[in-house]
Amino acid sequence: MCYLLNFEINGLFLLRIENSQVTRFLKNASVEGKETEGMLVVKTKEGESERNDERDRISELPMSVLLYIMNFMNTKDAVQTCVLSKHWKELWKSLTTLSFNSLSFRKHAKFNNFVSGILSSRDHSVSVLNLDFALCMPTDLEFVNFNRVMEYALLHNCQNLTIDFSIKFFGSDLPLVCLTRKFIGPYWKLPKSLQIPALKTLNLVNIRFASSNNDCAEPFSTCNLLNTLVLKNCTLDRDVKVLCISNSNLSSFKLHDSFRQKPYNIVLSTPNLRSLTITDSCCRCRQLSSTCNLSFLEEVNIEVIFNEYSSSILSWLPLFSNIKKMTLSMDILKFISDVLSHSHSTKTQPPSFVRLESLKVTMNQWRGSYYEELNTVAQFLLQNSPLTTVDVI
Amino acid sequence: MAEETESTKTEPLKTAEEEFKKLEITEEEESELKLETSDHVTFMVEASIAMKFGAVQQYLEVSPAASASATAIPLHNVASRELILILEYYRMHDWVDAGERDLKEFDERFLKDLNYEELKELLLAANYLNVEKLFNFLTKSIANIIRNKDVEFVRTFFGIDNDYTPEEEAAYREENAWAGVKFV
Repeated sequence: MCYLLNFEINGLFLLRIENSQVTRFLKNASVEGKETEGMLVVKTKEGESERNDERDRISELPMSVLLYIMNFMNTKDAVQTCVLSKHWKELWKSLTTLSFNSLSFRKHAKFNNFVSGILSSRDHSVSVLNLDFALCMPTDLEFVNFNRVMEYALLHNCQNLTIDFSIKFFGSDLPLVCLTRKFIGPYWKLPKSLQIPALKTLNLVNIRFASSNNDCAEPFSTCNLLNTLVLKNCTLDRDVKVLCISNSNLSSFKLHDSFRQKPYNIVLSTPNLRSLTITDSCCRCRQLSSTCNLSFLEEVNIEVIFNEYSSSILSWLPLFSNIKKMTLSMDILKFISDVLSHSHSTKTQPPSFVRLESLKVTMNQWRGSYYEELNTVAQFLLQNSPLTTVDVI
Repeated sequence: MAEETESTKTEPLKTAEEEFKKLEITEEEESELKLETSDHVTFMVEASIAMKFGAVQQYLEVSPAASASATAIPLHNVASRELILILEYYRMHDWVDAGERDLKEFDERFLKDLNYEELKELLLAANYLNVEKLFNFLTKSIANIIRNKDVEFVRTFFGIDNDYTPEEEAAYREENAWAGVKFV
């Protein structure tokens, strides 16, 4: 029995071919991005029992499925599959996820060779949708041509990008405070504006931000499709005093343990922001302000343990007037309580969370709990809100 | 492993149906769709779950009458054994009260109960049905299974015959030395 298939696949994001009846008979179709026109003649084995036919079906997963599996693997392992058989030889070249980690290489030179080998040998017509680049020590950066990686990401429509230059210590991130300057090593400086237009999610760990104009860093205004932004252990250049997150599409912004060198301000120009998270044990953000009405902001988590500008936290609250869910650390309540007790209460305008559905307070096991203050502050916060209960977790 | 599959395969279809009946919690108000597997077993499936299957959606787009009529929607590449598993997975993940931990435990158990052949068959069925969540779960699990395994294990797992000649291997290794490619 012969099957003659004239086969064509268009479109960049097609990973799984819908009809597996077709893919069953496909042996040499290129899966993604590339325009293929091939005449395939595939013979099914005749004269074998039905059971054997079924066995054949099982042993041959469609190429698109194999590729999907490989996208979950570290790129170093995924490339290794080329030794399995000739059928697998070129498969890795169509990977849409690249995941590099210097930890899997014993020598810097080997890591660098690997990265540049992948970038030059892969099928350039296939997009790199997900790029994950991690160094086990930030100092490894000296040995890698990282700018080439970024350029490649730009040219291949990268949508989800993670750059992790954190300092790993027994598998977990070391807090920067414990480290001397030399050990932290050279930072990779984010370009003044990040030019990867297809980007949807961006995770940055231990990256330095340069100023775009005057004393303001505004790196994300050019990423028009950016939806999720996560910053961790990042730093600002010496002359930067204001971090401006201006992006019309951004929906979720998370900031963890960042910018601890000196006091700074955050300005949000994010009309579509839905969720904001700031967790920091030593937050040095002095002012959080917004140039637009954050009318879609529904969820706010602020878990700060120490803030030298604790009194300013009260001034953040009016930004959150539309939120439905809020989580605060117990320490924040303590800050607010201090402010309230020191100032005349008539002066301090209570916030109005008219749509608030849940308020959670997180306990810190190392510090005391302030139940007395909790009550006063909760009353203050919920004065204009339908909510009457606070969950302490 | 091969024998194990053999025995489960020859299981009479009746048991499959019985098993399905046990699984099924019918809510009278919910509409149901009739699905027919490749081994000609008919299943009545809650529309809310069946509509998660891309293949069913696609079928109904082409012939919308099938949703109301008594004709069964044919699933050519899914056997009853796989469909039972797929329904089990989706019923659990659809269950409103299932917490994150419950689902994680369920997923682990679900995976543990499958041998490699069953896993691959299920993956093929999930690919055919176009059920995204299960497909992602299975592909990710397979990536975990073959991680750090030697070449022979992976060849056996996927049922691959090594068709490289020693000369080809040598040439290929040299060409791709940068990737640290090893033939074992």
